[in-house]
Amino acid sequence: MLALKAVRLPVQYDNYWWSISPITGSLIRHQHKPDFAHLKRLPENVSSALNICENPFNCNWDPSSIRPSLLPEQRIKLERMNSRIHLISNRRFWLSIMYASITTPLFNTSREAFAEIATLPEQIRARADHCFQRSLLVAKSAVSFRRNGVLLIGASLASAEMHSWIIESESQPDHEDRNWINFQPLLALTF
Amino acid sequence: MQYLISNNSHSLKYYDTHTSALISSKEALFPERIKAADLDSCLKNGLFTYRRANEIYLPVAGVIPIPSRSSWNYINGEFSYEKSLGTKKLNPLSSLKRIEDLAHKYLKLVDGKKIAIELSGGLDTALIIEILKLHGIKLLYVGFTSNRYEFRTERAIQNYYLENSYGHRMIDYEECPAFGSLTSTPLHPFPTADSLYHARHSIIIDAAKSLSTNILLNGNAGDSLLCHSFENVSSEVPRGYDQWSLTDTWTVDSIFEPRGISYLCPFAFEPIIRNMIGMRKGFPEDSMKLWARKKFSHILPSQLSNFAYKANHDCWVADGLREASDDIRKVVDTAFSVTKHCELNSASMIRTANNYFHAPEKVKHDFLLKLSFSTWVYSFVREGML
Repeated sequence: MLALKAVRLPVQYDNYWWSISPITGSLIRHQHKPDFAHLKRLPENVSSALNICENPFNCNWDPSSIRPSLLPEQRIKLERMNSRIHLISNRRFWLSIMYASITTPLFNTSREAFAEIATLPEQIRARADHCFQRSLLVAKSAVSFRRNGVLLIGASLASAEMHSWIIESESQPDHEDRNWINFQPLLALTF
Repeated sequence: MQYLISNNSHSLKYYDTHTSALISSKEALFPERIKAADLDSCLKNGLFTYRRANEIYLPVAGVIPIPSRSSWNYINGEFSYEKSLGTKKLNPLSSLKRIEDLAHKYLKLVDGKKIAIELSGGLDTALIIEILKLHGIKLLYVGFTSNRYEFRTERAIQNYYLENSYGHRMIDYEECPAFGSLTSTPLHPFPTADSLYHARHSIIIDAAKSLSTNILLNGNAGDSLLCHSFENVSSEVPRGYDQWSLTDTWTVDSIFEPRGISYLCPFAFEPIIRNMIGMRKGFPEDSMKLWARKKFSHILPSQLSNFAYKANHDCWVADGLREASDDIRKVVDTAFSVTKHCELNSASMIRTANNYFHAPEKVKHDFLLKLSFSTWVYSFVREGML
């Protein structure tokens, strides 16, 4: 049984309230504060991840890079999952989350997963454009994500740019992502 | 025709292609020479700033800037960088101690005077502050701050220093949008993207003056020295790291000096460049400045030595562009009426401004270039010189 949870985190900016739809992934502008009952009691892992986002200095940060060694058949599997995620996520936001929530363990930690996924051709070609697919693939393939990980989707509200990243055990496991602190989390996903 | 043009002085000069002479910024204002073809030259020059890369440049309105202590080739109407006239030898004994000694030497020159620093909340400024603190300097702080979400790490560092400041004047970013006051851009001889941010510098000057200081330091050039790769460096300062190419030459010449403020960039002092590159010689690119965070961890606040994320100012730029619509229309329409260049279309420029962060890189690049050109033309019209 899936333990998929999507938590909307509306914020106020420029006299409007903003949120991200968990169904379409669209950034939505509200005239009035959306009444999301769940906000009164956030899941503990989401609350902890938001605390790290709010206070990045508290984030456990390891500047060293790692490179896990995948077996050739595991690498093929990873590439296949990556292709599927790209195929689905471009048009079916929620379906791609559902697909990612069915775990296929290839890595022990999200940090290892990010390091390997960064070497996939799509990520090398246009890393900035594929943050959502990258995060989904990590969530799907890293054992630690299901235990402690939260996938966040946020926006820079003045420019309406969006970004996706993971917070796991009070760390941000994507070694190459320096940009995540610039985005305000609006949607949290846990599996 | 081929010439070697050298500017031996310590100030910015311009080469007048009509008289073949080096002249000052004031002497280089030739509005009567502006023509449509100048925008074509600008488009070929690319997004011109006074920290130029080593490429080929075309004169605009018959002049080209020649930075201090540099030599340029002038061949068939094109300029290319030849060499720096400063000392280029890297210091083989570079060390943190040597940099501290240099700081001590420079500080003797301003002994007893009040010194302010632009407090950005980033690593580079913090390094300068900490080195000056080692010498007992009671720094004043000026700068921009913001309550925006993405600025929270910079804000935390700013607050860390402001808690024990000897005087400060911090200004909300919202009071000074990017691209503010385009119609008040000061007269300048050569169109440059540097001019688009003149308003923020004017506000900083007011802040420094309110603290009764005329010496203002900044942390510029830290990215060049602390991030770039110096893996294949010989025993000399590589091209692109000369003092003039790490300094805000236009801003100093057009904004700060006319108002009596010394705007100094410690990272761009020649001996500091030679020592810093000497220390990083053999090191690869380091976009997170991990080398500096580790090397200087004993003097930096832990938030900076254990942390490597950087706020971007995209929101400031996006909001600024939206607010600048009226000024953009005014300067672009004016530039069109003078030059009749078909590329100067204010409606199209405003559309790009409103959608800047979703525009392709080439569109953004050309937008800034045309805006630089337009504000340059507009400043002459505003002063009644055209």
